[in-house]
Amino acid sequence: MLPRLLTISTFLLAMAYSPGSIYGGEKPKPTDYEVKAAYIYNFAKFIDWPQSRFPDRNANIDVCVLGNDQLGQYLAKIEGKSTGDRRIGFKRNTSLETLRECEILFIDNSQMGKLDKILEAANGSSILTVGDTKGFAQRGVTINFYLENNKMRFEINLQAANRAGLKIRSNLLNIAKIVTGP
Amino acid sequence: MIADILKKLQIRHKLIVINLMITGIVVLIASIVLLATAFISFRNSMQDNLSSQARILAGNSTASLTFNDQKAATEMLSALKSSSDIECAAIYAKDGSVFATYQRSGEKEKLAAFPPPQKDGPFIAGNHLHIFQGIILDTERIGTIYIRSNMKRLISLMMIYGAASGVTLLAVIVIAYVLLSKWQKVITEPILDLSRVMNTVSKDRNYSLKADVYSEDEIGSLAKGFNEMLEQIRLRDMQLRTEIVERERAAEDLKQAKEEWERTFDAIIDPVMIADNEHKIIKVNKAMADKLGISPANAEGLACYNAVHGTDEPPLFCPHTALLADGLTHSAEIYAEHLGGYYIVSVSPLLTPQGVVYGAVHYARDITERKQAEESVRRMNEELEQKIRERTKLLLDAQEELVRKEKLSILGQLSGSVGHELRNPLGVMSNAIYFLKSVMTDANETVMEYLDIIKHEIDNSQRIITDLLDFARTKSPQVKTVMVCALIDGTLSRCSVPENVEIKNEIPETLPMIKVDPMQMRQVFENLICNAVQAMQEGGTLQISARHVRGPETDSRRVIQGHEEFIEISVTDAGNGILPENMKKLFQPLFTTKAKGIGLGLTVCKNLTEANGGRIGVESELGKGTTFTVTLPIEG
Repeated sequence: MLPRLLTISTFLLAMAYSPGSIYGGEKPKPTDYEVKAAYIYNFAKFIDWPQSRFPDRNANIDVCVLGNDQLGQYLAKIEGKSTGDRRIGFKRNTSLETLRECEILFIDNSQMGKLDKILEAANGSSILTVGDTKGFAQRGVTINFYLENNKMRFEINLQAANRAGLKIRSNLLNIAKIVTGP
Repeated sequence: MIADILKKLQIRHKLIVINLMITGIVVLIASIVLLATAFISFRNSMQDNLSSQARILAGNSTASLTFNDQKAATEMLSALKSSSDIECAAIYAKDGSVFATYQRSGEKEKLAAFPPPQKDGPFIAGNHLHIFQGIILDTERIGTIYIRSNMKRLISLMMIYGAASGVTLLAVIVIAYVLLSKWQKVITEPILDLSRVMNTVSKDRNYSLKADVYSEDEIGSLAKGFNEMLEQIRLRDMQLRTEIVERERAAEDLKQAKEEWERTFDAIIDPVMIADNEHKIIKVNKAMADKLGISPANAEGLACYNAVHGTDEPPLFCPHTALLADGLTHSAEIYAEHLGGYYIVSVSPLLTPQGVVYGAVHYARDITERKQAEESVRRMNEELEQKIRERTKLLLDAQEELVRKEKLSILGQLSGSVGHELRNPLGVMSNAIYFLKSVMTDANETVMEYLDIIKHEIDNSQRIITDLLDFARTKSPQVKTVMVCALIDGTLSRCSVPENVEIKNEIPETLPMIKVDPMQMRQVFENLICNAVQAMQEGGTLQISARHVRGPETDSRRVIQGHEEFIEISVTDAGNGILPENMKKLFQPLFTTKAKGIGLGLTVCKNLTEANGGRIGVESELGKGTTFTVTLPIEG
């Protein structure tokens, strides 16, 4: 009895003083880009593209990045992951001309000046535009990351989504900040 | 057990109890089934409800879980507030860590106490309904939702159902009791009625009653059967009553006959007894019972020989035994101590109608008086014979005495004259011898010897003549008061005693004085001592003793009328004794066994002793010796 009690109390003590928590684990805190890449992958699970957007049932959901390609290395990591019947694809060296081939388009902060052109180029092609620059959502980007209390959050422009013919699940809308415009 | 309890109850109560028990059991089973069904269905619905809630929540929590929005998840869980049953809920991340929780206000449970995620599905534990539901996004499980609901509603529902069941049970039993109390009469009333009639019949013995027939069922036929039995009993009863009256009359007649017989039996003066083949008394009449000293009832069963003779088996003369042997009448004359006398007992056989002897009547006639008369006659005869014998003896004695006296008288006269005539010549001869001896002093021895012989013989002759004269002329005694020892000592000094005879003089000096003629008594003792010495030719001890005796102690033969105290003087020798045939003749005159004697010594002794108021007696034993005893009275 006594040895067993000792064992249990020792274990509990070890738990109480161990750094981090039972939820956290020992992994290093993920960088913002890493989080953003994971979020982008998860968005694919909550968003339905129109059927006409894909040539066949198993066509990839391609992710592209415009501008600074810092996110690229993380996106490469999610390449090949599946969501429903589809897999995530990653296309590099995306330009204004080729962006229509993408299903998800990340628009970097550096593209702020060309945003209207980019959005115009994407218009009518059922592209999920994602940004991480303040005001992008209001300007017509469908999902835009922002930090709140040092926590990664995102806002959704439903009008933009509707324009693009994207159906965003209520689940996702429930946890997002809804913005309007333009 | 219940069956035992039921046995003691009345039918009415039995019916009610049985029915109530059955009703109660049915209602109870129905209630239990209902409760169980309700419980299961309610629990299932609770589970379904909770499961759908969990599924909805799981679906709604995918995004917040995916995008790590704990706030949104918590908000979503807080929607559970609307369900009052739900106590707490939690969302676990994929790695099992708690992502979001919900706790109903007022619930004390801490966050850390949420269970780790388990297998999907509902389960009941510790008064709670738990459910784990996986959160699936696409095909991937991204977390788990946990909801815990209390079962207060289930419990309260069960309590309501239970209470309702109890109330129903009670109501059903009450209603059943009321109805049964009324309806049981249909069955019990005829039975009770029948029972009442039976009780009345058995109590009053009134067999003319009838039980009512209520129905055509089994009880109805029971009542009919009972009525038929009653009728039969009534008829039998009447018949019996008639028979009883007849029997009583017969019994009365019998009793009278018996009493009459017994009166007659007891009226017989003589004892009568009836005994069976085993000698056992069947009956005795009053006379017999009185004689035996027991009541007639007590006599019954005793053995007749035991009752009459007090023996353990029949006496040899038993006429009953004789009768049992030949079946004929016998009689015997008996003496029965128990009956107090002599009887002639006649026994005559008692025969069964078939002529077999089963006992006998003993008829005893009392012949005691006759016997007593016979006895007294016999006794008188005996007495008469005795008297004749005595008288004859007296006559013979008197005759003997007469003869003796006659002899003595003749002898006296003869000896008187002879003695007188011989005395003088003897005196002359004695003087002559004296002269011769004095003148012939030188004569030779032979001459002297012969002179002595002559002298001796003259002395003898003189003594004989003295005896004869003493005998012939008994003088009246000259009484003096003397001492016994002096008397005896004086006598001894005159006796010549041989050397081989020892004299043992044992006369005590303390004896009282006696009044006798000393000369005469001295002659008596001299004679006795001389006789004793002569009886002991070969020597021995001569014993002389005397004692003082009182009347009652004295040998009756020696009692002297008119005196109470005596002196007894005995002279005992150690000679050969006296032949028995000579004993009688001892004191007769002229009887002697001695060569030199004329048989007058003891006669003289007797005469002299009697003249002095005494008696003389003798005892002798052959080969041992003889004792002469002289008894003399002590004068007042």
